[in-house]
Order: sequence, then C-alpha cells, then structure tokens
Amino acid sequence: MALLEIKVNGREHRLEVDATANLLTVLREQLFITGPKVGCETGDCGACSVIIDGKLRRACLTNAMSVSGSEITTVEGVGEKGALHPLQTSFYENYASQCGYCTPGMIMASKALLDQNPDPSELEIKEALSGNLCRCTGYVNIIKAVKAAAGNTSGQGGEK
Amino acid sequence: MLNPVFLAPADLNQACSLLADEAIQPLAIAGGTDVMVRFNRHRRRRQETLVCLGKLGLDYIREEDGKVLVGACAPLSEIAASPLIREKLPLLAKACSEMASPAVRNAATLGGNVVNNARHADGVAALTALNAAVVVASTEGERTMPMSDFPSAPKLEKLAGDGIVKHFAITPLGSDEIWAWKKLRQRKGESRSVVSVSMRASMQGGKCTAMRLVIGCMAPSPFASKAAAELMVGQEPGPALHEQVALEVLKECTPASDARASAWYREKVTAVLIERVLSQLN
Repeated sequence: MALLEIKVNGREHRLEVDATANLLTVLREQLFITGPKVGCETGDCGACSVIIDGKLRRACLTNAMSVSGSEITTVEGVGEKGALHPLQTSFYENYASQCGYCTPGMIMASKALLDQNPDPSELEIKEALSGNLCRCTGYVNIIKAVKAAAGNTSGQGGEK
Repeated sequence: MLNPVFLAPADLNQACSLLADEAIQPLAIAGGTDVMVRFNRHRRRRQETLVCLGKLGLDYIREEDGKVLVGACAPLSEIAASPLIREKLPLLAKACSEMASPAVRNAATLGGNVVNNARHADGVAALTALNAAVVVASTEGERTMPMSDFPSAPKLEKLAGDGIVKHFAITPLGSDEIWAWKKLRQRKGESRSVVSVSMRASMQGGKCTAMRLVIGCMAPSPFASKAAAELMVGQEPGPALHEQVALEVLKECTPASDARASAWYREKVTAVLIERVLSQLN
C-alpha cells in the first residue's frame, strides 16, 4: 500500500491505496466519487475523463500514486451546488444526453477545451471530443451543446 | 502477500540504481498509458516496484549545441504544441498531434512510446525518419545510440536494468530539406496507425541527395528503408522511379493482419502512401 494525498473537487484527501491502482478505482471505490465512469479501461472511450492540474486525462490510465499532490476535478466539481455550469445547462437544453453514460466524460472534455479556448470552431470541438465515445451516437447534439455553451461560460473558466 | 511498492525518485542516478536492482522487480512508469492498461487488464496485484519517472525533470524541450533535445518524459501534447518543435521539427509535431486522443496525449510520453516500441509506434517512426539519437542513462553513465540501433523487442520491460531513456537529440530540419508524415488510420481521432510513411530527404540540382523513408506498422517496429535510400539517392525523382521504389520497399516489409487492417490491404495502401510521399520531391 502507498499513501496518496490528493485534492478532489477542492477537498483534500489522504488515503492508503494499492501502488498499482488507477485513479478511477480510487475515486469510485475509495472516495465514492462515481461521476467518472468505468468504460473500456484501455483509454479508448473517455467515460472516465477527469481534469488533473488543468489537463484532461484518463482516470483509468492514470496511476493514482503518480498524481499524488495534484488537483483533480471530476464532473461533480463542475458548476456549483444548486447551479449548473453553463456546459451542463447547454447539454440539458440541447438534448445532448441519451443514456447519459458518456456525459460526465463529455462534460469534462468540453470543459477542458473551453478553459483553454473559449471560442472553438466546430472542428476544434470535434478534435477535443475525438477521444470520447457516445454509443447512442448523439454527437450532433453534443457538438451543438458545446457550441452553445462556448459563448456563455464567462467567469466559469479554470479549475474548480 | 503481494504488496507492490511505488517509488518516485527525484534523482536520475537513484532511478537508474532502482531499475538495475532485479531483487525489487522494478517496472518503470511515466505517463502510464501503456503500463496501466496491463494492470487494468490483468486485475491483479503484482509483486513489483513501480519506479515513477515523473519527478526526474525529463520533460524538457530545448535547443542545445545545434540539436533539439526532447526529454523522454515530455508529453505528446506538449511536443505537438511546442513552438520550437513546430518550427524546427514539424514532422515530429505532426506525428505527436495525430497519436491517440487529446486526454491520452496529455499523459503519454515520447519516451514511453519508444520503449514500448510497438508496430504502430508513431513516435518511433517519426524519430527514425528524423535520424534521432537516443541518450540512455544507466548506473554506468550515459550512452548514445541512433534510433535504428534501439532494441526493437516490444513491451515495456526491455530497458529495465539497462537504464532509462533520458532524451532524444535531433538535428533540426534544414530549410533545404523536405519532410513528410503520412498516417493512414481508420478515423481521424483516437486511432492507431494502419500504416505510416515518413520521410526526411534533400534535393540538389533536381536530384535526390539524401533519403530516409520510414515505414510504420509493416514490420515488428517501424524501420528506415534501405531500398528507398539506394534507389533514390543520385536520381531525379519521377513517377516511374517512385513506383519502382514502392515495389522494392514492399519486399522489406512483413505486414501482419489485425483488427485494423489485413496484411493485403496494408501492402496496397503502403505503396500508395510511398508514391504520395515521394511525389513531394518534385
């Protein structure tokens, strides 16, 4: 076992983890933060996407101990209590969720994009979401939602 | 009871000593995008010592003595976005920008891609085309070898006990040099290469004076074609010659069939990509 110290969604945690554990398992099974989803566990589907120190990463491919000392944002840390982030509102208004399994990853990938590039082109949105799979194939509305949110995220950028 | 250990040394010599100590069963980990797939897949604890390379400061990208040095732990996304790489080694920037997906590129390192050295390792293909030198640090000091001499047995453990890839030293592309990076993949995002063809070449007086043509996914590791160099250097490029080169290069290939493409298809498209790449010389 190894001692992990991380800040998740603004809250500090200190816990013992298996040295080989991935961040996704630690978030879900030890911290009970279940927004990041278990999908392929090979880095292909994007359901587990989180933001680590400002960068979009795969929680399933991240050794938990390798990010000790880092700040992690999951979908639970996007927006504020009682107030959705503009991206979340936009996903809701544009029917960008069907079964919803990919949605946390889609939101995190979109947030990472808008934090860096508040006014992305459609091509840039597609590129940013290229690692996130939606098996309901609702991509058109997802892209529409990100576009709509792009003009409406002022004051919400950066790590939460 | 199995009890894997995680160590993150901040000193390169210490990291080399740890990796050389067989008693602790060391396994190097950097971005983790290859290593963690194995852990996830096998779902079991391992009696290993994970030696994390992330605190060694090997993520630099800088110019030194006329060479561009790319640290082994530099993430692919930073290499692709680096103004220095985009200006001096656009072939490498393009290759890195087309690997995996944005989230994976933020973690995956060029050193990891090279050490893993799979058939489809685009980093290996790009560095081989650029004729990069690999600098390896070990308990016995540093040694430098050309990419083409780097051990090609794929899968992770290869360098354990034999040092750590420190950085890649690459001569910038000259203004008279011609480069190409063409990668065929199933879709634009998040896709491994079906085939890649890359080139670093020079022309003078209408004739080819230097040619490194590298083929990826058509052998156990990407390789620089000897036939292309022999046939092209000293010659005037043209469609007939390009077709002949493509046929000869295919003789050097040992394509495999997998979920992405059949060996037959790979041969067909490799010939097309080679001719397209060589046509940039005209």
